[in-house]
Amino acid sequence: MYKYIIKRLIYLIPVLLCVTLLIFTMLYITPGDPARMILGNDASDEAVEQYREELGLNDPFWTRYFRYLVGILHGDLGTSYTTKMPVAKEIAERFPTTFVMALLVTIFGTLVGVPLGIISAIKQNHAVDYLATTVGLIFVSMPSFWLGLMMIVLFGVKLKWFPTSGWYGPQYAVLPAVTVGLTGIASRMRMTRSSMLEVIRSDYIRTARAKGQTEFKIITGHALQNALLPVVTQIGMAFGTNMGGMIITEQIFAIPGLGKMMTDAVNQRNHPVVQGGVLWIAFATSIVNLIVDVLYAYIDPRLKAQYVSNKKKKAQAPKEAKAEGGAAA
Amino acid sequence: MALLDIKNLTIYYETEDGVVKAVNGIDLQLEKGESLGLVGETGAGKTTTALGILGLIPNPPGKVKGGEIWFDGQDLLKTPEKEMRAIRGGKISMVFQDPMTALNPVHKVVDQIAEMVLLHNEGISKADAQVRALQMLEMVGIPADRANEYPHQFSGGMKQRVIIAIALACNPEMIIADEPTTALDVTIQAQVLDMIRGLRERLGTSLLMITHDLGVVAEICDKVAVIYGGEIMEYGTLEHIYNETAHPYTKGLFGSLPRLDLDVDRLTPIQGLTPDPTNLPAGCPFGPRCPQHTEACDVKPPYNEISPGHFVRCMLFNDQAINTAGKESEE
Repeated sequence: MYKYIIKRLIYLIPVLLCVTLLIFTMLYITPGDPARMILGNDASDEAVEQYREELGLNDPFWTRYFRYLVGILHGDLGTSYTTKMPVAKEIAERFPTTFVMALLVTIFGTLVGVPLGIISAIKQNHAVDYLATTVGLIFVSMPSFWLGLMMIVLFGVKLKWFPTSGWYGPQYAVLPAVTVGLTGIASRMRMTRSSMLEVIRSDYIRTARAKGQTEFKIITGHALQNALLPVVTQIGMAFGTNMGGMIITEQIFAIPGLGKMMTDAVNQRNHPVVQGGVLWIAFATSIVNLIVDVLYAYIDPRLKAQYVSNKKKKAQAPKEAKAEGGAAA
Repeated sequence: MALLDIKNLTIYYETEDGVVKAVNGIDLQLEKGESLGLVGETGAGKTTTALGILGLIPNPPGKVKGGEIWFDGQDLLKTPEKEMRAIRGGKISMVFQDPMTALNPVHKVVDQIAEMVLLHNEGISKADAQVRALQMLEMVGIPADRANEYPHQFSGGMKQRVIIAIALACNPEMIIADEPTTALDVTIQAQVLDMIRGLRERLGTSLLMITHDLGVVAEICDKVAVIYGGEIMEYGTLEHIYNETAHPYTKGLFGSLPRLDLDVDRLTPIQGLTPDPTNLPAGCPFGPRCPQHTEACDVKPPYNEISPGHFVRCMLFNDQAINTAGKESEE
């Protein structure tokens, strides 16, 4: 298992290398001059040209790319054009906010969505199921920027229950978390429902019934673990995406997270921040994926077998043969 | 009194495409310690009957339309769900057809046996249940050091052994085995059958063996019921069915078996297909395929006892009936 994790971490290196090359190339060919953006339209051409030279923007592509790579290897993601702060520090400042938000959203969506999905699967084609699926469909189809604005209007402006924007305490997290969470609930519910429906028709559930097991234990003890796999995948993917910042939601609620940092940086052609941000998001997503993959092994023992190296399998084979022979005798 | 006495059991599946008449007024008796083979083709209503006994017909679409299932002096169809749960596994347990899918893939083998023990032995500790589970594994010939493995690490035959261990874990009075060997290859089939027979002789458990394999029945059962179109066509001892075969359908089944003692080039299959259970013939369900079909077969044939303990549902034997009273199940 540890071997598998280490292997996956090594695979991370080429992935991240590709990410740097892609994002660097993309920013290289995007129109717009960072020096001009920073100095403003009033600055003279000479000043802009001198600034370009200072930033190293006039060097050839490969020179700039390798300079960037060497920087990364030394733990230096570059310096923000606008704030003059190291990008790594900027990300480190923003990341906790985004991480807390992503965690809140994921927990909220899962704690509500998964039980709803289970209930709706058990009560398939009953009123509860229809209600849950319809509400789920509505939330999944609602764009989060619209939902966010409506939340602000209703709970922030009209009812004044929660602050409308900013990030100064737990109460500020409620509206954005619910906004993104509602979409999460819906997709989590639909995934759980369909996965559950498949599982509760399977033979081993019938076996459990034939044992005289109670319906509650059949669902929680037998069906859920089997139905969880696709749900965990989805939760992991959603969490990974959210870790990159909920770009629109952070913008609407003015949350100083990674998403807001990225949108601002793109607008200002703040290349080092964009590059650093994308690299960090790629890294975080990969780690989350790795965690999800490791979780699989604990949910489904059949998958764990795939992680065990071939060498170990061979060592187990004679034992297997012996047992088989013993059973036949 | 019989351990299991099914009277006029009728089970339909009500689907959008029509009513599937899976079981149509079945009468079956199983004495204590006896083993009864329920033989029939695919779709004859064998599994539905078995699930009906345990109250596990998926509802919807399945529905028990009528009849009685007496087990140990108790009508299972009128037993509340809570008591049924104690009976399932505790008094009647079931061995399912496909060992590949009948075990929960994410639970350890030993836990799946221990679960049964914990459910039907009140106050037993988890450790004791594990010990009992290990004993059961040893009994079906699986070494205890494999107890902590998962079903995917077992071969098909071993999985079926585990399922049998689960079924026997609480010393049930009756086991329903639903085609327990169909999914296994022939050598393993023989092993599993030997094991079932051996365990049954030792433990004295009654057995309802559901199968389409007349060879399996001959090996294991005392009595045989031949089912077709959801009705019992012929019922009797092994002797009655194998040597004094009466019903044309049963004869057809034997005719389609390859025989080692005769030199035949071709088997003689029964012509035609099993009837569509949404649209059964009005008279004898076997009528349209029967080589001895007459006009008399267009009404439902009575269930006649033609010699003591040998029942046949066929017009041909109407005048040979020694006792039709009480066995009439015509609507």
